[in-house]
Amino acid sequence: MKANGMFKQTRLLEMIMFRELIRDKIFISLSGAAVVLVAASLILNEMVVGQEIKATKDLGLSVLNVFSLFILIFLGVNQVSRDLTNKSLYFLFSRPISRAHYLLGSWFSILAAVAAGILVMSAVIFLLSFLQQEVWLGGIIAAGFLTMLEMMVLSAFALFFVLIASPQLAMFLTLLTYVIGHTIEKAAVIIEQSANLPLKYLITVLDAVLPNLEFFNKKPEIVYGLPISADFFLHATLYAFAYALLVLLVSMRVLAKKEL
Amino acid sequence: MKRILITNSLLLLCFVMAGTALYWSRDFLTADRRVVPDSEQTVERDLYLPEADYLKFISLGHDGLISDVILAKALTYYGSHYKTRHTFTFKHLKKLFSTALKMDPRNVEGFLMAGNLLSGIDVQEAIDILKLGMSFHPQHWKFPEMIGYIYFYQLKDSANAGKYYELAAGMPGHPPYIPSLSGKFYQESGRYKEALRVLHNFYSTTTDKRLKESFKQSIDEVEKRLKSGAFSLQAEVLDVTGPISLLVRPDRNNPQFTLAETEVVTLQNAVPPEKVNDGAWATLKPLLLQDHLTGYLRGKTVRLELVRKPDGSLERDGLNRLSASVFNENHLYQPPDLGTFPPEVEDLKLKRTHFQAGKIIALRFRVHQLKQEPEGLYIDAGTSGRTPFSAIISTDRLARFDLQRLNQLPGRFITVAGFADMAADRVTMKIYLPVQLIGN
Repeated sequence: MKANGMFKQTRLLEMIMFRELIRDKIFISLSGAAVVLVAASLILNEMVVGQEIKATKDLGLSVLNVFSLFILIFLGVNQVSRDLTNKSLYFLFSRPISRAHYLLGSWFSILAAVAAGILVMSAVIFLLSFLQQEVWLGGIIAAGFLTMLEMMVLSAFALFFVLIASPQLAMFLTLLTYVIGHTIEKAAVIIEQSANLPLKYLITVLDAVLPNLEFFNKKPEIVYGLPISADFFLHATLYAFAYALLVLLVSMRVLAKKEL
Repeated sequence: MKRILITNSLLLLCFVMAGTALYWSRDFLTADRRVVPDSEQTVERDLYLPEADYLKFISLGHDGLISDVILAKALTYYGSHYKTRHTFTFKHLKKLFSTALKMDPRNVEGFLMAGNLLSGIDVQEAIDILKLGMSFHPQHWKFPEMIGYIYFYQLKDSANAGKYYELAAGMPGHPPYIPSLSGKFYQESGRYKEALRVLHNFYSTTTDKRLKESFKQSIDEVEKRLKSGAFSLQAEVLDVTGPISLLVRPDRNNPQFTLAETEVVTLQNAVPPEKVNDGAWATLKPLLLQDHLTGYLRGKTVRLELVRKPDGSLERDGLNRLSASVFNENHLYQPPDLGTFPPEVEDLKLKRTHFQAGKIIALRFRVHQLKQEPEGLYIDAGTSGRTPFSAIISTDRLARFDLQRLNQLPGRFITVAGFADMAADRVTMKIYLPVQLIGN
């Protein structure tokens, strides 16, 4: 009963934060910019003769991914850091809401805002592909789902960074996690041949600790309509949830110890 | 008041100075950025590109998008020098294509397009990019087929063409003409044993009765050649002259023609009826139907099939064999020039077309009317506003269009073959002048 009450509180908190997020001017501007950019694929189409729809798909999926990251960084990090610096958490914690629930609520609200952004962008990509005589629904759903999984992990990291650093630094560290997450696999392969031992160890440690976000990158398969196994989706989901959970648990511990 | 005046004057002065500086710098920077056509310096600056591996590393998973952008850049680069494409070197094109395609190796269309464009610039680069595509798509028949095509038509290397066509013939989804072309190319290069091996192989594996019959005929032909001690010889056509009726005459003992075991052959004592300006006219040999590979022109290297007779002298094999060698790319048929050629051009309706850029195609027409002239049979037709087609089909005793039966042609279907050039401003058929060779 008590747990049920706590769950309701978390849901309520998540709803309030989500509404706040999507009403933010930054969210509207970012979504607008993403829509314009996806529509710009029509220009690229003109230049890539003979493979028009491919340019739309490539640009669409990239915009989907990058703008989800922007929403996460500029909105998610901003909101939580605002809560922390404005001391509005005092008011929140005077109610029957634990610090852990606040963190979970924030995480869910960020994900909900990202999902809303993905939905808007997916609709535009679908419309553009439809205008070019191709009903491309399965690919968009798969891409949206994989982007959500990636953002799930990154938002957990973003929350962790907000708790341990200034908002600007947290944004930078989240962006860095995205960059490293997408390059660490290739870096590890390249560094394997290297004689530079300290660098080799550093990459090995980073490879072990940081998430490999390339796991969620199935853009080529999606664009070319190649099959992706259900096993892959299952394992990717498991990986994303497990990683996010681990980072969230560490963040909860940090927040519990943090002097507000 | 005085202070305000001084301040305002200073502000105005600053404004004017800033404006002037802006004007000067803008002028300089604009001139610096202006694209000078074919300027190597401009090209170098605009087309700098890191290696694909490095780009892949920093692309953060957006390889496809970056590949598209580079591909667009490559096409813009090609397009911006399209008018001077015959003289411009395009030295960055291969790098642009290979980088873009290494970033997105699944892009089969991209590889084929790159191969097609590069084949008009540097055949070796075209082969390289197609081999790169082949390394990523080892089971896609189109890559070896295109490489074989380049070897045969551009490098005049029938042996390698046969090898690649054989490779294509072993891949799933290949069209039925691939295996027979493989055998034909081996045969062209004088490698009769390979030709027999390939033909026997496809003969035993095909279940198509029509193909089986065709393979059987080819096998018999090659075996006959092997027995007769035939061999092939590379030759260069130096000149093309003579009435068209002589050029296609099948009589190999015609006193006008002699042949020696030499690498140079010349056609003499003849004036082509459609001469006008070299390149302005072309005549489609009716025999094109037979194997899509007939017709050849001056300045091109051909391969002669020779048979050594019991007395030791050499005899050239049939004309068809000779004519299956080369097409001259400079003889692009230009429909507007029809105005200068004998009047009335008759209607011809296109029944079915398979246009494919730079490739041999076969077109099937329904003949409506014919205009018969002493030197040929003239036909002209527009397939649609987008795909105009015109052809002059010459006639002679060898022709498929039997002179005695010409009047029966209207209403019937004919098939002609040639090259479709989709890359040009308008679609044109490249049709080639058939010639007869003689030795000196």
